Amino acid sequence: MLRPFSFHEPTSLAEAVTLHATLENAAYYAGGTELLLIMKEGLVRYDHLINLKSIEALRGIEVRENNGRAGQRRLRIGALTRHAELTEDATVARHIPALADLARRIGNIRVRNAGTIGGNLAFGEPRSDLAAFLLALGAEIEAVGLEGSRKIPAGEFWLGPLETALLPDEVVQAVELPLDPSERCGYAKIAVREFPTAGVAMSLTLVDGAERVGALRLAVTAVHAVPTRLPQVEHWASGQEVAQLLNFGPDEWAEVAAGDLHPVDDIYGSKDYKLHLVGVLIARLLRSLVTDAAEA
Amino acid sequence: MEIHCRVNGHAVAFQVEPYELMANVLRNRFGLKGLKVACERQICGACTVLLDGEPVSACCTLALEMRGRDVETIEGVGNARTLHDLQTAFIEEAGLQCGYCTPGMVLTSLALLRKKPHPELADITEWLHGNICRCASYAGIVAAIQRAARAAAKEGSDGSYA
Amino acid sequence: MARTLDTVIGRVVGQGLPRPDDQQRVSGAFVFATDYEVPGMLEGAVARSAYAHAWIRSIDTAAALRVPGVVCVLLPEDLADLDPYYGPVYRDQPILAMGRALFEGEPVAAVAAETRAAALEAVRLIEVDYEPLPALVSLDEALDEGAPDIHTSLRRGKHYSGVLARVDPLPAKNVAAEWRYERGDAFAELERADLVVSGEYRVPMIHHFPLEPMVAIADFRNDGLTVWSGTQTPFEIRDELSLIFGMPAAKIRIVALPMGGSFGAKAFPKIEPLAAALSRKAQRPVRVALSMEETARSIRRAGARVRIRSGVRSDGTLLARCVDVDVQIGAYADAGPRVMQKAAYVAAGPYRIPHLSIRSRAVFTNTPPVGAYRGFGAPEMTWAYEQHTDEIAARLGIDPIAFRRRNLLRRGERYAEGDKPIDTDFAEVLDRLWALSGGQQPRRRLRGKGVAVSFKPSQSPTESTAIVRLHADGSASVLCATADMGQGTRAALGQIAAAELGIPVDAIAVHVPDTDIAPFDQTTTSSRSTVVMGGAVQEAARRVRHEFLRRVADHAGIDQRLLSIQDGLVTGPQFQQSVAQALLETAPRFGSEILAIGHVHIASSSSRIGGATPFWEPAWVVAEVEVDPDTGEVRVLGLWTAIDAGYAINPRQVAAQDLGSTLQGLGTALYEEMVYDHGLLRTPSLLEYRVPLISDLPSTFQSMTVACGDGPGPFGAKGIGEGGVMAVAAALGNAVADAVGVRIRDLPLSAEQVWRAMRGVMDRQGDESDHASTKRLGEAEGG
Repeated sequence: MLRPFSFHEPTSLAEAVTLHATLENAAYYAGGTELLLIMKEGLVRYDHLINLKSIEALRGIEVRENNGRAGQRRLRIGALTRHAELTEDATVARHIPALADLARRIGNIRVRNAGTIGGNLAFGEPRSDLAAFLLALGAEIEAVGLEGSRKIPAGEFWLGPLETALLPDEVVQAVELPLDPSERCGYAKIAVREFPTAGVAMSLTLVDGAERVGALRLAVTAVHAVPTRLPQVEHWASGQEVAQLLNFGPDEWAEVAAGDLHPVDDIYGSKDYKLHLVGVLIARLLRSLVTDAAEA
Repeated sequence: MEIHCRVNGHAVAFQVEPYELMANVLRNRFGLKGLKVACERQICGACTVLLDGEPVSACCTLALEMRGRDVETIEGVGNARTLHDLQTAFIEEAGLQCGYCTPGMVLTSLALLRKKPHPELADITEWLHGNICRCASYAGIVAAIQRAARAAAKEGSDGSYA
Repeated sequence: MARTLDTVIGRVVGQGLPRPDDQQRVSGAFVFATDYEVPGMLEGAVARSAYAHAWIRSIDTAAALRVPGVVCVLLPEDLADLDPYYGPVYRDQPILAMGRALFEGEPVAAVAAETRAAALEAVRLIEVDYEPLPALVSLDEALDEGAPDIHTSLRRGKHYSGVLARVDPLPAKNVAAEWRYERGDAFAELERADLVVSGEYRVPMIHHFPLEPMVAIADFRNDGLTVWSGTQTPFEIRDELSLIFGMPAAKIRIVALPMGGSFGAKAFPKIEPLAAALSRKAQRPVRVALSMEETARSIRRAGARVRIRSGVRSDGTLLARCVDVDVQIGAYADAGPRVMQKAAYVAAGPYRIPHLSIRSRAVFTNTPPVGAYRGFGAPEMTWAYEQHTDEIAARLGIDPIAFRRRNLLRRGERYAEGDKPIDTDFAEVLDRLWALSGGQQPRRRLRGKGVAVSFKPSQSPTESTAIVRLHADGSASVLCATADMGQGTRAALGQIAAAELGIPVDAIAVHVPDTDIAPFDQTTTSSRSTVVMGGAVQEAARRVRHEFLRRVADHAGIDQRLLSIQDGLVTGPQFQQSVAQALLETAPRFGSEILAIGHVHIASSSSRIGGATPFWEPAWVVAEVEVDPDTGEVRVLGLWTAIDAGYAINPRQVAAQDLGSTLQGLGTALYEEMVYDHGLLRTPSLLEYRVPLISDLPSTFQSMTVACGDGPGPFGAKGIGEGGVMAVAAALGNAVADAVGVRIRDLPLSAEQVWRAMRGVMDRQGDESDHASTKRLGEAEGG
């Protein structure tokens, strides 16, 4: 049961943002998978929903060539893109197949058919798979508000559970993932319940004839109140010999990650176990990315 | 607001309030009670309907999302007198006990078979991951989908579900 | 093993026919309790306690009453002229909390409104002033000397008054009931045994999560009360409402609508008394439809702590066993004490143990009431005694199958004095199932196999009545109160009637249970209906057939013994007529319709639980697993299960039921647990509570039906339907122990728990070791 609200259907971003500023107690609406759930539960109440689905500027998946920033091609994904579209889009499959794999394991088929990438981000879900992935890839989130458009680095986007850097009037317009042909990336999670117990995303480059790790970025989800990068692990692993890192088991990785992580006990597991799973996932991802690289 | 759409192949026009949920409108206004409400969290799939052929949770979707869309409920798949082959397969393979999940199971399976007429077990698992059968008739459900796929293939028409 | 039946019977029973309503179920046309409506009905909603234990200082309904469409708010003072308590064991559960709420989610007030939205909005606006009290959740908290009393007195309820007559209410603080069984001198024999093995095993609280939440409609007007409810126990609810409202049972009508799953959750009064009280106040029909979360806060399965000590001879013969069972029931008794008693009764397992001592308690806690759940205590006990069985075998260095073979009860032996002798072949079926599963496999790291054997008594004493009407056109109605929760019994009852009457199955209608129309039936529980109600239907149908043939014989001048009926045709020497034609021709002399009653009543006995079971329901499961060494995740590779149907009236439905039961039980083994934090449920919905999904389907999954025609039901049938769920968790536990070399004694076998168990071994060993050495370490833990 939803309590009454009125429904607004702007056709441009400017119109949407203005509406949001004008209306009392309004929320943006796209896929509705998260929003309607908490509204049904009575956890939040809005008098106005502003439907973003008629705004063309929020659609599309495309590769954008470097736009002032040297050599940086980007995969730009419009905020209205649904998870199901990520799993089937040819551009995504060609450039970042790991993103399609990730999307295929989000929720269930109905959630993937309804939920949008922009909604997932704007909601600030602390167990978001996508969040870890965007953090590890150094993605940017493009937001539009009354003050115009800005790009928020993924690392500055998630502030707390259900809390993001978006200003009240801001809409996620798109996410941009840098495309670096030398970079490998992946996401892995352990999920027993609907939300994962732990999820880890990794991107890395190999140097010295693929014998050494160049740059490594790691992010975890579901372990903390907010999706988090693992700077200590990244720093420690960068520059190391691949062969040596492959010898590292889950326990060693967990030990290193302990500096970055402070999980809490909950129904998903104890803090020890979650930390251990992060170690397991790092070890697994590293192996699979290195193997992929070798095959490539 | 005024909604124009197709429900089970029939063009319809009706008024809804923006805060009405699709599940309530289809069950109470259209009398399509084959649509079941259970978890209300998008986990269980009992309320599955197909919107332009794609499974969605009617319990968590605004009724106004039906605008201009093709809406399919279990009542449009086949009725008790003339069952769809897939429904017959569910009976033949004992893919149900209480049957409360069955409308959602059949609709999701139907959407799968239209997209992938010869689904692998992994496809079935991926598509039906979010459809819960608390009687746990999963063995029969998998067998029913495979049986329906085989039957369609035998008729030489991969498009029989399209 | 299957008995050969004559062809007449084989045409109708013994066939894997679709159920008559399957077409409705797969096409969405089937009317579940949720889909039923009564003209002019209001919608009810329930305000629930936010605390596990609290005084209710005041309830402010002013804002709620102002919501447009609200008709009334039901408060405790509206119940002042009633005796508003119910329960099958003790009448301790009030319709609304009477001054003190005893569990989170207990109803404190209720609203009736024109729409569901208005009712829910009004509930949000009801303001309750609570004074929180300490919440007792664990057994130890509730049994602590300084703990507050959850109840200070208890009145016996009606339903179980006979079988629990010798069980005293409230023998100690927060103890709802105690039960003991002694034979021989178990404590002395333990001293004499070559080896004593002991262990403590736990099962958590779990919820049924039927996909269809609870729903009931009550119409309390015109000097009568009608309730339409998805329930397994229409007559029991009628009798409880009669006590609450002080009305004759004859003026109360319960219609038991088909359920979208129940598994025990919808047995005994649940929301029916509240719906009736709300309708009484509103003077309109009222529907109370709960959400799945509300259902999860209304009823659950017991948690339990089971301590077992066993004495064995070095040759592997069991000598003595002492079992201590503490059953964690909820804030109100519901069926909890009977679950405790029946669970404790079988706590020693299906083994020959001359000296036995069982002591058990049902302990109140500030959690939802414990009711029936598929297996009724047997799965909880089987978890404990079958882990224990493997531990003993390992300590003795005997193969677990061989150890069981030696000690399992044989057909004809008695489990306990006064009960039915064992009517199945535990050891033989175990051997066959083990062979079916491929037997002993070459040892592979992190892979293991395990077995478990379980059994439970059905209900006793037990009673069912049925009416069969043969109509003038040759079709027949079966009037009986067996409820439909998807288990297919109504289809089986139709097949039984068809076989006896000699008319096609599709000429039979088995009507929806209605206490105004159908004669008395105890309950649809305990896998009893095919046997007991089946027997009543069979008897009624035989009487109808006999009377029909008598009329035909008399009319046609043929010896009745030479007449037979098959496929709707009555045949004799130079005589053949359709049943309809024969009825038409005999009507002027004898009348049009033929009606008969069948009645089965198996009386109470000297058995320790009040009656001798009409049959034992056994279950055997073999499980094969692979454990992920990094995460502790258990992958179930194969499940093989066996049940004893006596005779499978519908083999397809029998197998389907058992496969479902087994896979449902897999959830209890690996995932399911109601987690509480200071008495507040942290796993109220399917978002947090994991049930089996399609991905849990093992790659090998087989159910074997034993059918020797040796049951007390029609055609030699026994009851089935609980089956696999009783033994699957225990088999998986043994398989995991076999795979990782460590015994886990608490359910669920969550990935984290398995990881921790493996970790314990590795920490002590310094590193991964070969299986043999971890195995020894695992065995050492058994002592």
